[in-house]
Amino acid sequence: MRVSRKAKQMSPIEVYKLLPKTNCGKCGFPTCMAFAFKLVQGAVEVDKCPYLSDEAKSLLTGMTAPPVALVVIGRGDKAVRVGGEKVSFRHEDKFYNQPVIALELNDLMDMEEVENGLKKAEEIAFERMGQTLKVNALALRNLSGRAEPFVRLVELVKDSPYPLIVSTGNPSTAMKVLNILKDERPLLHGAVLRNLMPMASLARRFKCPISVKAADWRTLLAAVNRLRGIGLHDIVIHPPGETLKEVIESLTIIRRLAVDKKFERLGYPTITFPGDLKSNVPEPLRTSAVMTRYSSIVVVKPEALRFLRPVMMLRQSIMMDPRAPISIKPGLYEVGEPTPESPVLVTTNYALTYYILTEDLKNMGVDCYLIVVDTGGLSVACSIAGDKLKPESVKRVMEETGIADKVKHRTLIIPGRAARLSGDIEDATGWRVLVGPLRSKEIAGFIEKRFRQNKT
Amino acid sequence: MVIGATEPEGGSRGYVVEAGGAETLPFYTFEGLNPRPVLALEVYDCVEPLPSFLLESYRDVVSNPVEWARLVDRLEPDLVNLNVRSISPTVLDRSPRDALKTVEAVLQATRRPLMVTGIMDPIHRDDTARNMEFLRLVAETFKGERLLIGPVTPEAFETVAEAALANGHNVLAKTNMDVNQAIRLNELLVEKGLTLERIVVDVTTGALGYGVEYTLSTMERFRIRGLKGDRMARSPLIFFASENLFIRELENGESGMASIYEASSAVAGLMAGADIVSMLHPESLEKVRRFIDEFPWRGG
Repeated sequence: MRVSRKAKQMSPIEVYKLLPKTNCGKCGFPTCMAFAFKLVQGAVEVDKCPYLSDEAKSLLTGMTAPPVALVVIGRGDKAVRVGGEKVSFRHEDKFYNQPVIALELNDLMDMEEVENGLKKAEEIAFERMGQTLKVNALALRNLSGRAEPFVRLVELVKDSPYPLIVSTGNPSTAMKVLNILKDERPLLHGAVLRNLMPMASLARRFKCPISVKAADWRTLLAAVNRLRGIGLHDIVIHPPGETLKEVIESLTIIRRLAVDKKFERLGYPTITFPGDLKSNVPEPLRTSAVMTRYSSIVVVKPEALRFLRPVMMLRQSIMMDPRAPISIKPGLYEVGEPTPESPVLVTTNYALTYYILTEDLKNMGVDCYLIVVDTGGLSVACSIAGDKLKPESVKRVMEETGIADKVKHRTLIIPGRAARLSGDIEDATGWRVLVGPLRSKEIAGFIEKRFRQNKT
Repeated sequence: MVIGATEPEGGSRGYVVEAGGAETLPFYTFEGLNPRPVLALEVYDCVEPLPSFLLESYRDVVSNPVEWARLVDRLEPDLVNLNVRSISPTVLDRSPRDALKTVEAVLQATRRPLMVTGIMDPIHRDDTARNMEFLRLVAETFKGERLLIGPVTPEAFETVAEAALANGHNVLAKTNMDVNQAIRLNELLVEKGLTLERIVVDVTTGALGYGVEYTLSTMERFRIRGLKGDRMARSPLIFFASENLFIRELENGESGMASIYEASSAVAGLMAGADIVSMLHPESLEKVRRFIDEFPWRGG
């Protein structure tokens, strides 16, 4: 369906007029008016109403569609989503799809270099707070200018676990590799005004997204217009600019116009190649910079993989929803196999605090009970400063979980940073409070020295 | 904000540094130019322990803040940040009066504008009182040097704000990743008589994956409010990228990697509106300086 993203934000009354007004309840809401309110908030899918006319559907979908179009690259398990963003500043809502980090491989590399790159990409992946931080795609570049080496490269990596970006300026080479990849939905990169129509018809034929590059805005807008004119909407923009400054400017302008002005021709995800810019700044820093400024796909050179972990940590930080910190359900948790003699530790429900603490406790072979207190998902330091670690909350979790029946002693160990709350927690709970160490790695030693020996 | 005072101005610095003065969103070079951000390098009067990868740079000066300051001076930061942690009862429990000697000696070791920070992260019950006492003494003793001193917090700011006001210094106002808290503290300080260009706002933590996710949004919100005309949000912002060097991912890390952590976070901080970035690794300073050099700034 052709969706007009120009459709303006409507009021609930205007939306209501487009609905069947039968209050049938099929959408899950008691009345059409209630559904209209939810639609305006973007809190429900238009499709939930089975009785919409095509026209109403198109209008309402347009209203709820994000100003930066969502584009899917790859298929099935390999698919990654880029774009789909609604805001320029995270605090106004949240960012929906993380920047895709694509490893660049080219057809001048020998087989060993390619395999090394793939191996390194796998090695740097790591788990953090329940998420895997990793390279998400491969960007294959036709640097040889010939078809055969490029075809060989595509053959070599097409069964890897990554969705592909295929970059060539030559339509006949593009056709050869798209034939190999068939319905894999690679991103076809390399279209410029000069080769636009042949590349566009390939994108249409193989139903794959296409990215377009231009040196200036006028050419870029003309190219996007032509793609849209032949019905292509899975577009990725390669923004103009040869320097870091120019690319940052382009990325910012694109996002601001798409979001603030609902400027449809720039309402698409973006791809950048920080390693190719004219710049004296190390590539990981350039990557961090374009990532903080909305680049939906960043292509990195194999040499940059070595320093990619901080970049991926930054990406995870950028993607976090500030309104909903990753948190753990408050309550009583067991670490190892606690007995009635085991210590009882108190901590906050910030996911990172919990993961680090339990990981360290397990590594040290400590068996204990862990009282996780609701601090609104804030860390120990932040919840102390923000007065979110309340003695009454500690008491509540203790009562609700019946910890008093599980252990024989009456001693709590609180985080080192919570030292100034020790008296208040003692008063609230009636248990003796030991102020633990500042670092979770020191807990085992602390338990041995302070808990076991001072036990009354 | 102006940090440092030259001899004619009643101080002893070789030059002064200006921070803040943004007129548009950070890196919106297509709309207008902001002043060049200020890069600070840190000197600690004690660290326990200094991450091993920093020993390559600082091995010989680790127990000597004066030599450390001389070394840092040669790396040419815009600003030197002397952190005096030894006064904390949980660190060395050094008396604030005694610690003034270190500040005095560092002022002689470098002619660059100076920032003096006490206990950034109060843990012990007495930390806050100790910090206030130390900062008040610094303000009084080094009258006229136009230092940047801090942190002050919503819980403890009065004596230091008064001393800074009376002796011509700037203060670092630290709150916890909440734009309203930051604005509230500014209001409290302004009530004490400080003007907004004498307050630098620290919304806490530059550490990737350890809170920077909130810091970046808080800084953006603060800056947007300031640009939209909220007077109390018009102070410059400071960002402590150095905190990255102490994260768990970098335990036993190597130097090159550590500086990428610190510099990446610094870049993100700058993108969110930081006017001053404080760093510890010499290589990060160099990398971030190169980054800044690739953009145009107001006044060149």
